[in-house]
Amino acid sequence: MMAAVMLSAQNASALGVTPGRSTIDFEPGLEMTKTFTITNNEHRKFNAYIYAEEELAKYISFGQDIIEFNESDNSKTFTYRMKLPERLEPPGDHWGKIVVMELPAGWEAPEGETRIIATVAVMHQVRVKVPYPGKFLQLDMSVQEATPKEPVKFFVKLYNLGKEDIAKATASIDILGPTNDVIATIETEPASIKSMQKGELMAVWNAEVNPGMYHASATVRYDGEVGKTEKTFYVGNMLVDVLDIKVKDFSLGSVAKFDMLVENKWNQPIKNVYAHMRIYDKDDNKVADFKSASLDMEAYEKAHLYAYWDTEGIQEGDYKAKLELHYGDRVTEREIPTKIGLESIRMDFMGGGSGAVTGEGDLLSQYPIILLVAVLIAINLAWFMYFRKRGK
Amino acid sequence: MKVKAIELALANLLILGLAIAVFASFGRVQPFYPLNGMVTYERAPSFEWSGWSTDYELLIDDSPDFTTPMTYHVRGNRFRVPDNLEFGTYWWKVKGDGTESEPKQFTVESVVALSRPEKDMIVNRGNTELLVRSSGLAGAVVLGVNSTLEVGVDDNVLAEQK
Repeated sequence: MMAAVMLSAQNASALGVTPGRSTIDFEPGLEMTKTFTITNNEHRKFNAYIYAEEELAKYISFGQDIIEFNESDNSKTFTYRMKLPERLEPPGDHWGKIVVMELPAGWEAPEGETRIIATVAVMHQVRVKVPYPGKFLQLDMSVQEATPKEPVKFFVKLYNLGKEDIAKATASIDILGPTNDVIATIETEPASIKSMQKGELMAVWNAEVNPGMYHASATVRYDGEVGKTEKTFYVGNMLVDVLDIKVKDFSLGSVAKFDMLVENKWNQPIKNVYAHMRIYDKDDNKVADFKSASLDMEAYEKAHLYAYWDTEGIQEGDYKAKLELHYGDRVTEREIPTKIGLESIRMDFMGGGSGAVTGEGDLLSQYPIILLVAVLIAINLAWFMYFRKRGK
Repeated sequence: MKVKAIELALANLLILGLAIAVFASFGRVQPFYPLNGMVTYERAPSFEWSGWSTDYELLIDDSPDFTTPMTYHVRGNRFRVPDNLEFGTYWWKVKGDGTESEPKQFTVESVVALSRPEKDMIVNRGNTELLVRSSGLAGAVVLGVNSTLEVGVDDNVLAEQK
């Protein structure tokens, strides 16, 4: 018999469910069968113990509450039934949660013993949306970000959770700069949304602004009602750029002082900016690895980072420096050809330059068509030869 | 002699027809990936299509009529969207070479997955932020994708989509 469970956490457990959430629009007395997948992507042998909890648990039922997983099982589908009541109050979201708990092999204790295990469990959420009386819009906003001078798209998502249709909804979006001043206002086209359906309003703004963080505040007007939603977004990427690197008063064998001029091109302060430099010789052997002190930079500020390198034992010649600039949660890296002389360190450095990466086309994606053409040509040639032979 | 001429003419017509068909298919943009109806767990999926142009416009919308699409100007035949998509069903199509592809549908689905590589550590192996409760923690902790959390070796841990 199962007693309780032993505290001996398994070495590596991985347990998953997909999807993590199912959403159902409430209908009185609704009955339905739904599924989700339990994953075992580390291919372990275990038992999954399944139970439902929270408000909707009493409306959820399933056939088996223990499912065995073997090493060969990558996933298993789990089916459950829902039977909703005639009434569910109040309007809004109601939740049920189906818990999938991993019970490692040997979890059952012998008769008379008590075992405790440290378990891992994941949940599949069941959300039932109960409509509000009248008209009720749930709002959300997303932004397709862009670089400066490019169009930024704003999407105001509308979920009509009311029992009545909405005939006309429009949004006015204020775009606020770093000092909270409104720098632009854009309007969307109108849309209508049926009860328990979703809709979307879109507006485009040409981002003739500096890179940085901005804020959008949307006011949605629908059939005499007003709602608001907000979103912070970025134009361009947070960027600290290296403008120049100098090493003054240097003599080989002494400590070189690297003076790096950097600029914060972002419209917000950036904390903890520092440089990490590695220098490699012609054979790609690392001969130096050093960092600058870190500093905090104001928006658009230029500042100097200093780093020191003891060149004792270093020979004259050509080297390659790899400079990593760390700021925020970002790192930019560049390679700089470097010539070390008796009284100079010259870094072949071109300041500036950084761009977004987009996908590049290649021949690989054309292979299916090329293959198809080749096959067709071969078939036609064969046909042609066949007919010619028959003709002879 | 007459039969031979007819057969040759027929063969040439077939070749010509196929050549025209192939040529016409070259001119069209053909979306490849994500496959139509595919369920993906990749929040920022990659898209692939064929065509002979260098510049394309990729449109992604959560509505099949593309009334409010996200649009990306792409150089080349592949593109990974820069931001995570919300979970849900999308339609996508590509414009290029003066043509527009048929729309294809795909669904981004959430995965709630938890790994416990060490007795005192858990890792979010899913594709969404998790709300994690542990018998050793008061309240819940939000755990980002691929983030780790120290837990007690004896703790029971429960995770759900945030």
